[in-house]
Amino acid sequence: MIEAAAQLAVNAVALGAVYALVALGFVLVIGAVGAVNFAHGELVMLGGMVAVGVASLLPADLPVPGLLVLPAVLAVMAVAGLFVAGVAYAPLRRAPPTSVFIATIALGLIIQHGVTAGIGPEPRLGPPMIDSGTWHFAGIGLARQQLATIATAVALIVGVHILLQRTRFGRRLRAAAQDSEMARAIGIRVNVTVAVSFALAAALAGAAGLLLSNQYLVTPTDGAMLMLKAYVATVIGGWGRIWGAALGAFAIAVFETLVAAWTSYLVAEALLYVGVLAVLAFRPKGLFGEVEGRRA
Amino acid sequence: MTEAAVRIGLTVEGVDVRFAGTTILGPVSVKVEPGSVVAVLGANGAGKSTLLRAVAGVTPVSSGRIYVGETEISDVTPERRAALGVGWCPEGRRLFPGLTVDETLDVAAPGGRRERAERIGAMLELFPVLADKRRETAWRLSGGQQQMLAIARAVIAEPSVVLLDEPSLGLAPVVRDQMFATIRRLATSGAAVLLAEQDTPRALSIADRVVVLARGQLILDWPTTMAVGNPHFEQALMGV
Ligand SMILES: Nc1ncnc2c1ncn2[C@@H]1O[C@H](COP(=O)(O)OP(=O)(O)O)[C@@H](O)[C@H]1O
Ligand SMILES: [Mg+2]
Repeated sequence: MIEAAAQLAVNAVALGAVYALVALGFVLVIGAVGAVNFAHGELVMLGGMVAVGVASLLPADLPVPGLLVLPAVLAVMAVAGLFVAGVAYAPLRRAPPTSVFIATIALGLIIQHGVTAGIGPEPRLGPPMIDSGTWHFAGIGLARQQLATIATAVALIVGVHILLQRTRFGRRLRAAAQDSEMARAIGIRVNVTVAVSFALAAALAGAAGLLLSNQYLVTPTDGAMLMLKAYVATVIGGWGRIWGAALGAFAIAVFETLVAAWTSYLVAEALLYVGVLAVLAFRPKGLFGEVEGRRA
Repeated sequence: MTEAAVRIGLTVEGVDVRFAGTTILGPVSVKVEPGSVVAVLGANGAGKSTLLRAVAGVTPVSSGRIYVGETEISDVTPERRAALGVGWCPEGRRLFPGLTVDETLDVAAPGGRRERAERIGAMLELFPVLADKRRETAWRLSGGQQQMLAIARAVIAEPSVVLLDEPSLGLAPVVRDQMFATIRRLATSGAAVLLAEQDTPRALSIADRVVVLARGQLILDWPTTMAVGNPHFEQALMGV
């Protein structure tokens, strides 16, 4: 009983940490260019597929296949992010934000159908982060897979946090996100910070795709659901607030996992969107927006 | 601020700015000598901010030329202009809300870590009110402190041309006096300062020249000594 509850909590945290990665990337792009990247969900899916592909090149029976695949996924997806910026944002910089919405929706569909056309619509099994088994803490056995997922996601989130909050480049990136005209006037090359934001966003999406690809498999049509979760997390977290969105995503996953455990996944999803409507109605600035008190 | 090694002024030649076919500024020509303050006066909507924005490069000009010293910057991006020695403190301050005083100065300062730390130190000497607020986020500062920070951000790279857009707006009289004294010091250290202001008496008290804009046109460009107490100047200012 205690073990089941502990495992449930670990599952919730693992999914939460992965959703937080997805939402972080999503909101980074919103901050950088003031427009939503509707292809973000497809980037998560693409990251999962890249992980499947890279893992197939590795010898079987490695102790930490996912961990070995991770750097390649991050690198490939960062390049994919630059590509997204190049085709769906850069040409439309001076156009209204709706043009970027439409271009990224189109790009997302191209990615989804491209993957389906290339390798078929079937779900694929990604590499586990670590070989299966349980770890024991104080007499409670917990799945190693989930713990490794948490560790990886948390490491990435901490890395992004250090980059954005503690480095000069990260602060310049945040300054450019808050007021790009002002940032340019003090010498910040905003096209560089925008490109880095897209690359980072896609790399995080890819990492999330890898982390989901073993437990949940990866299917070419996964993008829309993930995109919706990221969008909801951003709304809950206070539009455009980086850490608010990450927290929002975490909350969604915990809510889903716990409610699904008592009822069913469908009920959990339905209640989630009821909750979102309530947030929009009663706290339009987001659950964490005002508490945080500042834009990050 | 340390003594500027090369003394470089600002030259604006026949600049005009249009939006959707209507001219909202110009053609305007202004010269700001290094080490001097030129006050830009005029009613709301006269085009003061537009002139400063055109020099900073954030509003495109339809024609005319802008020079920093001998270097033409008319077709240069704002970030390049910053590197070439233009510092702009915009209307309404526009501080980065999540950044502290230290971080705000650090993102605007050029150079390596040591050089940036030295520059921040110099700014804290020039703006002592910021010295014990270094870890405070910008939005928690008082209006006067915010304005000082916005100016410090504009001048930390030691630009030869400093553009200040209504820096005294919303400040108490005592703080205004400090503000204008600081602006005068920037010029004394060698900068060419173009100052848009509504506080005419204080602007005149530190300016070497004064220009008046009305409906986007430059209608007067005089030494301050000639303007003070001159009824023609008062009339120009009131748009008569
Ligand atoms: N982005 C813009 N688009 C259209 N008109 C503008 C824009 N910015 C300023 N204007 C117009 O240009 C004129 C000058 O404005 P501004 O330079 O802000 O004047 P001031 O700073 O002297 O109050 C005003 O009539 C204003 O309405
Ligand atoms: Mg103005």
